[in-house]
Amino acid sequence: MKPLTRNGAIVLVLTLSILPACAQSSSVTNSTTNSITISTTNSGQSVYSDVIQPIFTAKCSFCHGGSSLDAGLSLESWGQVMAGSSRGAAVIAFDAENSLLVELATKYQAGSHPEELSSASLIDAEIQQIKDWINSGAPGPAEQIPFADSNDFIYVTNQGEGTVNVIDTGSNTVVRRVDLTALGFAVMSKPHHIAVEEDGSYWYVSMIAENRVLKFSRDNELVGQAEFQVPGLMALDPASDLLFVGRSMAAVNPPQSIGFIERSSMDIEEVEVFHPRPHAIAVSSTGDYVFSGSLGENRIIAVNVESRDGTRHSVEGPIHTLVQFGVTPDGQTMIVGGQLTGKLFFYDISNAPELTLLKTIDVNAAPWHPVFSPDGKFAYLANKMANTVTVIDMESQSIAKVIEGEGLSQPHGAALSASGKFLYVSNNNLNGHYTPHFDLGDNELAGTVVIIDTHSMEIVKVLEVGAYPSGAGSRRAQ
Amino acid sequence: MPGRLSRLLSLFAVLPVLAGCASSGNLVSESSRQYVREIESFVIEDESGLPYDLPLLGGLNVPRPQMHDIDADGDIDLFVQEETGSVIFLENTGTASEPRYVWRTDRYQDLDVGEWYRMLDLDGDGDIDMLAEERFSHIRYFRNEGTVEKAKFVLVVDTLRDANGVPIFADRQNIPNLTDIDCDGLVDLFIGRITGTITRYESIGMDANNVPQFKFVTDNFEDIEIIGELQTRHGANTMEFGDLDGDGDDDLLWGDFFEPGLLFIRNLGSCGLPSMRGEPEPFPGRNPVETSGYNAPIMVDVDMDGDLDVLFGVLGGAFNANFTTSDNFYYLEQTDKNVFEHRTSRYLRTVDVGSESVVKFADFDADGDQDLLIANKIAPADHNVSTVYYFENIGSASAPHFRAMGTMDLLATYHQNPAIADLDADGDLDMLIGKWNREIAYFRNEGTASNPNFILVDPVYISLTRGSNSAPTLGDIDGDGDYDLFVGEASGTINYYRNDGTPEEPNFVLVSDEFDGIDIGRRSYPTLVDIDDDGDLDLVIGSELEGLRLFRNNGSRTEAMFEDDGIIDVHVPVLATPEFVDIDGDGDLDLFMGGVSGGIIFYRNR
Repeated sequence: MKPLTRNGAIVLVLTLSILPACAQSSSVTNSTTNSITISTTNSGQSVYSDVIQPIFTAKCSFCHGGSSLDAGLSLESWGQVMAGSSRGAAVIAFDAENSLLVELATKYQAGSHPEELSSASLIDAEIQQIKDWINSGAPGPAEQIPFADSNDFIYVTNQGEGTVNVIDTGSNTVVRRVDLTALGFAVMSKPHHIAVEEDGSYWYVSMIAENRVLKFSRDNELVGQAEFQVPGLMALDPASDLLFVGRSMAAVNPPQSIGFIERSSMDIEEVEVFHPRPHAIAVSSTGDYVFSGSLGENRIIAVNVESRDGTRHSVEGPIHTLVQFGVTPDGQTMIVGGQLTGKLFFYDISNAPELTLLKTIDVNAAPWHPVFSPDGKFAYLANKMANTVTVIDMESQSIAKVIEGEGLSQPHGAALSASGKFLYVSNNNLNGHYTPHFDLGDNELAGTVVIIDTHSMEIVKVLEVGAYPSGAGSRRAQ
Repeated sequence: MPGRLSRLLSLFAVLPVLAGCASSGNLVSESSRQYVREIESFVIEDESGLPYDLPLLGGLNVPRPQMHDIDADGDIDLFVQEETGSVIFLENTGTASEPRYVWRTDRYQDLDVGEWYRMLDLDGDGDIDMLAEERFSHIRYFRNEGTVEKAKFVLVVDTLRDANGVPIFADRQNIPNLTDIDCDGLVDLFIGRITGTITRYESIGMDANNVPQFKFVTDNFEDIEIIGELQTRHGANTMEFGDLDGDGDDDLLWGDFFEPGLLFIRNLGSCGLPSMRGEPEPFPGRNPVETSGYNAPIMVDVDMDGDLDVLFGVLGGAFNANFTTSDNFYYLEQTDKNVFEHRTSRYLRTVDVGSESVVKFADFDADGDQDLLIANKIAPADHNVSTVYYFENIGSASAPHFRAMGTMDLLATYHQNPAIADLDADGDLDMLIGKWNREIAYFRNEGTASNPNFILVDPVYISLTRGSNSAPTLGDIDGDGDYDLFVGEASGTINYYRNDGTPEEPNFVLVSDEFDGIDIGRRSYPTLVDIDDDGDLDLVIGSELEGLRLFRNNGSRTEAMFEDDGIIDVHVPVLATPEFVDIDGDGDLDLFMGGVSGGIIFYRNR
């Protein structure tokens, strides 16, 4: 797995075939891999300064330099390259294949970029040099790895391809893509939901089709796992060692229990919830109770975390199909949306395990995963069947705004940056409602992450990511 | 006592002290113990006196049927998947038009089929082959290397790949279907997607290893996009192709998590040129079925009258699967062209009280034979309680014959788990009732042995230190003449309460909530029984997934010392709840179990 932090000297691996292009490089041949390891350059500069920047300067600066910045992308310095474009990251460290800069040169259906603009083309050797540089971590002039010192990330699963996007909230770009298939998991392992430690030290991903929850370090190293049949949504209790996990849809008859995972050991205990398809899950702010909601009946259960005692509650009305809970930062209120009815329920949970229904309102179709602003004044939730995001004023328990716009296509998960400044909404786009900006031949149904400024409540950026983005998570406890 | 219970209590009779404890009795030596699964060993009647056809099948919650004449005897046999990974086989020993199914096995040829299977002649050799789920969400191929009379399925490929070598993905909750949709002589493979669309692969024949090859055609077959009655997706689906309207081309039935019935898409084209772009219609048109959703249909001429009928299992979708834990195997007979009559929602008539059944035996009417209690987790008709059904043994101690006599009105709680014994040494049977949580209630019989009257003494007589699904069992583990108490629970451990009172006045004192360090995994369900006939009580514990584990008492009648003796070698259901009783009066203990599917499973000790 590719680290976010530096760990020792930077070592670049370039294939033998392109070495002639690196005239100033010194090399040591590795006969086993038929590759050449480059630890430095003859100039004493870095690969970026000696090899990569000259390519950018020669081939790209006309459109991506000076005052002319197509797509807002400058390729005049390493820092500017890493800042990305208005469309997201140009380079994803350690992942050339999914770096737009390489994709446009190799897969763009309109022709290799920038050649398709009648500019001088990047020759194969240059492309290979760029790819190798990216795959080695895209180190900068001082051999620094990009975003190694960042500490606020949004994690979004690509459920349809077995990867996880890591988005830096400072630059609002994808800075890593964690490839779970490289760890032996299937392409269709279906990573679904994310939970993140409050200090960012570890993050967790539920793997529906692998029947397990994985634990990763901040450096994206797999450090633990817990087996659990068709894990779905998760809720992390920052006040204890517990991570709670419910079940996804992906089974004929999944067990009617939820998982209590000790995060330090990844030991898991299954606890009965007495309703079919326990999907929605949340933990009270005190960590005393975990709430589970059913996809198969109008039921919520509040389980005492210590005793495992459960208190069941019925939800009145027609079948709602409760998708996911959100708990306000003060722990007083819980909201949950009904997939089939478009209802949003407000519960007083201050006397848990008792739940008191405070209010029910109608929102757009299929209210999905809610999250709260840090001050608890607003809740945000995707409307999966309406391609909107609803902002809820929690004081009046009413709709403050419905956000529409580019990139919202089957919106699914939501997460906030640590400061609450930005909201990130994943979009499945399985129906192709959103058309990617660049036709890369294989990205017709690429999903998106829509970034919304929570102050203006406007969409500020659309990141095109992998197949079927679903769950999102951040350090902000949800 | 009000209602149905009063009706029940009139049936009770005198019972000697301790003799009614279901797990007591003489045993043959263990070496002679051989448990044989039986389905129709004795008669069990419903309340109307109608015998169940397959009383001890074990219940059904999520039946996934397939029907084929697997033995080429001219009638159609029945396969049903209830558990993940195995298929029940019921041979039709009746006639083509009047089938009579006889259970043959719970694990047909030990085939691991994951979450689904489909039977079709894929290699064109005239016998039935099979596709099934390769865990997880891929496809495996079993070729029939036997004959049309005697099938022998052999796993040939564990991950079916398309013509480009790419593994074919099929979400395990979406059950695919096979048919020759364009009548070109080659089988097509259809896979439903969570988006409500259908992916089509087309057979391009067999490869060098005689494995069917499928070429990807489209992810949007006929632009079908099922979004269900309530305009939503993110679900699970099943489908079946067949010429339901008898016009010479295949139509489509679709079941969906968010669809309470079945959707019918008529083929408006022809066999060679299918056209299925019409609106899905609720099925049957005149009186659409409505269940808890996620219905898994097949089209088959059940009654051999020349048209296709419809069988479907209810897997339980968005519309409360608790409703259909008993009534979940529908038969819709096509009585006239495009006219379907709902014949039954329990195509296999078996004792089925819902889900997570608990089976207990005791002589409730003091007539010298064992009567039967069977409880569920949640009543299918009332989602706020569980139900305890009483079946009186109207036969004898050696030739049992049970008749449903109503229900016991005990507690308004979920998952009642009775433990039955004379707790006050007054010569009649009392009961402890475990609940869905960690509580145990105490009912004292203030009637007689033959005419009991159970009075709730304490709704929370015992409360475990933690956990849920309290499952009590009683036995004199220290030989002091009174009953001690063992309690299983969801975590898989055992709670031991010693009776420090007297035979007349029990006083259960917690000795350990992790007795002997036993941990069965999950959902421990203990029973105390002298399984090796050495005079002391052994401990057999059911579990969620770990089978029945025997802890043999290698101590004595007064000083128990349990040692793990491994798993008892019988196929058990998920959430097995064992009960030992000499049901046939031959001097050895037979084995009964409840399980997740809500019925009764019986192994005769031979």
